[in-house]
Amino acid sequence: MVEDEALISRIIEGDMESFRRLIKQHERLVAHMVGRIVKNTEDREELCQDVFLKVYDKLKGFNFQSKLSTWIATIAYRHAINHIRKKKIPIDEPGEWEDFKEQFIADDNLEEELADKDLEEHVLVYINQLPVHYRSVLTMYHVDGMSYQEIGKITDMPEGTVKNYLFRARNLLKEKVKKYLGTEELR
Amino acid sequence: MKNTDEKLQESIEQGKFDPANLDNQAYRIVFDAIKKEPETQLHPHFSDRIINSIIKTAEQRAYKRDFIWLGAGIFVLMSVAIFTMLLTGFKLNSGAFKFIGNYGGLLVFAIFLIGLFQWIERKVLPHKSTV
Repeated sequence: MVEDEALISRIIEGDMESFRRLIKQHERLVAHMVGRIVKNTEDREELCQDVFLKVYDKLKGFNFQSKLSTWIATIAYRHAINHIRKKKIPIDEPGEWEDFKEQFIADDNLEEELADKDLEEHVLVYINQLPVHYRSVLTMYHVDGMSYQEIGKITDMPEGTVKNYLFRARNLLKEKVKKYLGTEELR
Repeated sequence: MKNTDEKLQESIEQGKFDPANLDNQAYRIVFDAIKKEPETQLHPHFSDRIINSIIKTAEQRAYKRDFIWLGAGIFVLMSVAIFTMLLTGFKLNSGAFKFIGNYGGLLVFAIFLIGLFQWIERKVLPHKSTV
């Protein structure tokens, strides 16, 4: 926190090398946030760039109520969500849980495409098939090591919803893997 | 009360694993895979691009600000000149410029001096930067 404070005051004073350091420290986090929400790879880099430009503009207003990384992740998350809303890309909100689960597990569209890949790669592809909020929560928790509270703050979701989405995402992936393991055993 | 899947997820997170159980096996594979970092390919000069963009924007803003000040200066100068002319009843005639004709060299020197000061200001004095 003290390090962040020193870094921010140097940036505000106009030290661009300090801002470069901030970018280097957080570029992976921003890329994860944007990458999990926006599927179009061409848009991703531009959006990541926009996020850091926003961070630079808003830095004077950062009040240290949260960690710097949480604040940057919030900007990235909201920017990516706004982008898909602006582009009128539907945010695939799952409807009834049981119906959605059944449909997700039954969906075999990718099976041929995945035939020559290992099981771990299957899971990574399945993650991309999950609803946007599920895959965001999953990445924030497991890859970026955030707490439920931090994820709630970033996504503006109650902690209970975060836990629920995380549970459901892992459950859906498990069912897919289980189905795959079952068919492999039959071969 | 927690259901079986919740309990399984918790135990896998705590590192407990029963290889005989298919659900457990599947969860183990899922938990190993989801820890993997998603592919994030940012340009190698990603930070340079952002910094260049910030510098460019700041320069454009400074340029715009200079023009606004210049415009405001000209406006004030003209306003004061008109006000003074009205107040003093000044009439513009060629006689007012006649005496300058005798000091042509001085006029050229004055223009040269002003130009030199401008050049020194631009080249020698450090520029205030917003970035």
